[in-house]
Amino acid sequence: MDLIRLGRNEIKRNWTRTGVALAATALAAWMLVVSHMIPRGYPWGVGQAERAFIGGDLVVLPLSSRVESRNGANLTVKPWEGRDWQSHALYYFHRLSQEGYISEGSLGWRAFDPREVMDLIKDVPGVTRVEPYVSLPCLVGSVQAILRARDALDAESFPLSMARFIVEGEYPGPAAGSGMEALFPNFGGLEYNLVGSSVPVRVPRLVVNPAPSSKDPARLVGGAFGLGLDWDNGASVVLEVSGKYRVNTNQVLEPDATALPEFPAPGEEARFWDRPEVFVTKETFQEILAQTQAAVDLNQLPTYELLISVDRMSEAKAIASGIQEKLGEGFQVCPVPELKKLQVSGSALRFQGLDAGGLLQVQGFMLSGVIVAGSSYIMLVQQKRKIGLLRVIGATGKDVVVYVLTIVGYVAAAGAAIGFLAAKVLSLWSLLASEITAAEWIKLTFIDFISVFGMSLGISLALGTAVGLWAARVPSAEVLKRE
Amino acid sequence: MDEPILRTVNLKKSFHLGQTIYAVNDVNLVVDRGEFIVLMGPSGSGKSTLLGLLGGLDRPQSGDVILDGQRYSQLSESGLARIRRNKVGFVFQFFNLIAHFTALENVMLPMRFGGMSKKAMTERARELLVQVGLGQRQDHKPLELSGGEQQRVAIARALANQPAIVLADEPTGNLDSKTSSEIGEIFHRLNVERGQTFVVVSHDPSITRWAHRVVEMLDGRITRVYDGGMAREG
Repeated sequence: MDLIRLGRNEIKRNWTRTGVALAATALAAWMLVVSHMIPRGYPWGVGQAERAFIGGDLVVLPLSSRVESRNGANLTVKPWEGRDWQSHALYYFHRLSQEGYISEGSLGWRAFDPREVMDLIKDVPGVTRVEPYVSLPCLVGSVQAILRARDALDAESFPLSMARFIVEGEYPGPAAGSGMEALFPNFGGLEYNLVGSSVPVRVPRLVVNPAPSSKDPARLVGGAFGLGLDWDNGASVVLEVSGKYRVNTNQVLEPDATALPEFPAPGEEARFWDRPEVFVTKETFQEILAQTQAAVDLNQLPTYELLISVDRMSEAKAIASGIQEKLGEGFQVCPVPELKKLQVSGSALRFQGLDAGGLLQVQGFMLSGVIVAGSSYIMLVQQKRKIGLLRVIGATGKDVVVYVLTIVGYVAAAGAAIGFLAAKVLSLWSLLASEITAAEWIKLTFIDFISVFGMSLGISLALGTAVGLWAARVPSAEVLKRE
Repeated sequence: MDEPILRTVNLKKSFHLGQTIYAVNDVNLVVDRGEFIVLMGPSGSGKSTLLGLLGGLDRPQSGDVILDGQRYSQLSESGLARIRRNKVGFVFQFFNLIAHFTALENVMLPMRFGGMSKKAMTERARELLVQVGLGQRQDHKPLELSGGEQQRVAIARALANQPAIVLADEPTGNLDSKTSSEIGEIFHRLNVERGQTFVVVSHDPSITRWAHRVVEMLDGRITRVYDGGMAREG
């Protein structure tokens, strides 16, 4: 149609203004695409050992307030009542054992019935698996360790697999006959237990009492329990070493990893990696629990921690927020820390996702839309005579709006295409440098394409419509004005 | 007797420039079918404003324009756009052609708004350009044409949708005398051969020789109406 051609010609004729509008749109498109190259949340990466060892992407802890406040002087410090075997809380709040935790009137560190909490969490979008952390303290000979119930995950799939950290033997399979297998640490004084050997292990009897640690336990999700250990009436079992695992702390956790608040301070050792956990299957754990004649079975066992897997690590923060909202005060949801390295010119850079990334992207397109529509408006103010002429020779208001939207649409689409292509060329580098597959890259490209052109055209055309409506009201008598 | 093609009824149009100035003041004008009328008068007498009102480019404060039986006062903006597209052809002093379009495309443009097929548009535009003597220049853009040629393209464009009336605002005001005479002759030929109705605003007295009537204006009012050259000869 001629009006479209006319619009295209106007774009070429007003090249300076068109150039500014193109640049703004291209920049917005570029920002959107490039922002997707920056890892958001806690993506798969070098720290898979942490998640493999913990067994989840997110951890839910029954802590009602943070202990890492810089304003510690105002906090009421309580004695630390928890124990290492109870959860990974010390990993996230590593000063807990020295400084206790806060605060007066808070719910405190407590065990809880996982079933009610799991019911609340399972419907949160993005959650694929919720599992309680089940453990008991134990003595392997005279060495203190933690007996942990955890089945081999389906297919031992990356990244939660322990397989890559097993230095010898294999993960315990289902119990056969009376034999009970366990995966032993190859550190923490337990190195001497050889694969295939039988190791005597002493497990205490777990005493479970509804022990409200808050003033109003009825308000607590999952209730509150007091857990006691009766070593005198525990059980001695013999575990067969099916395999040994070892984690090289320095391989994963670097001193400057303190960029995340949950990480240990520089120079401090991460306690997590010192936890000697002896892994047995749930079936074996249940059997041991029965031998201690504890009054609970595995399904009723109160826990101090839930382990959650999510379908997309890039959404981990959002999912964590969703879970936190469901659980309310009294729990803390912590994404398992993991940083991603990107090599740029030989130096390692770390990226943190922008929580406001989406908002910034929309704002970028809003700004570019304003510039596109604004430059079109200026263009049209100088063309009132031409618009008047179009009206004189029969163009309706609708025709004029189409004319304006042609100008705006072409600039927005061209700008989006330039920015999109430029960023995508750049992102080829991220394809080579990251773990992303070609299929995922293509999928992301498609999503970027829809996002870029959708936002660019949508916002620009919406604003351009306002300009078009203005232009449609330009009186046709403008054409009679003498130059 | 035929109904007049165009009639104004007590037409008034004023502007506020410190005080109210009537550019068109109580004008009653009747234009018959096939008539050639020249509007004359000094600058500021209201000729172009009246022309704008006649073509539906502007709306009056009071009074009405009736073109081919349709009262402008009863039409919406889109109704007026349809009138301009189907019943009125405009020719301007500065041609007002689209610089990026060829002569042929400029002539086709009003027909596009009318929804005509491309083949029909092209044929008609070519025919019109031949009629104004530009059969060989139809693929040239305005900047490649002389002033007279550009005005001929504008005349062809004005005739594109077979309008009931052609309104011309100083069509020779930007042309030399020879070219002006040629444009006048084109108007006359179209008037005689096709029975095309013309209302032409002009300062150029020579164009009155083609007119049936000459209407003189001053201060927004019609002060004198007299026969043009064609009337005297007729």
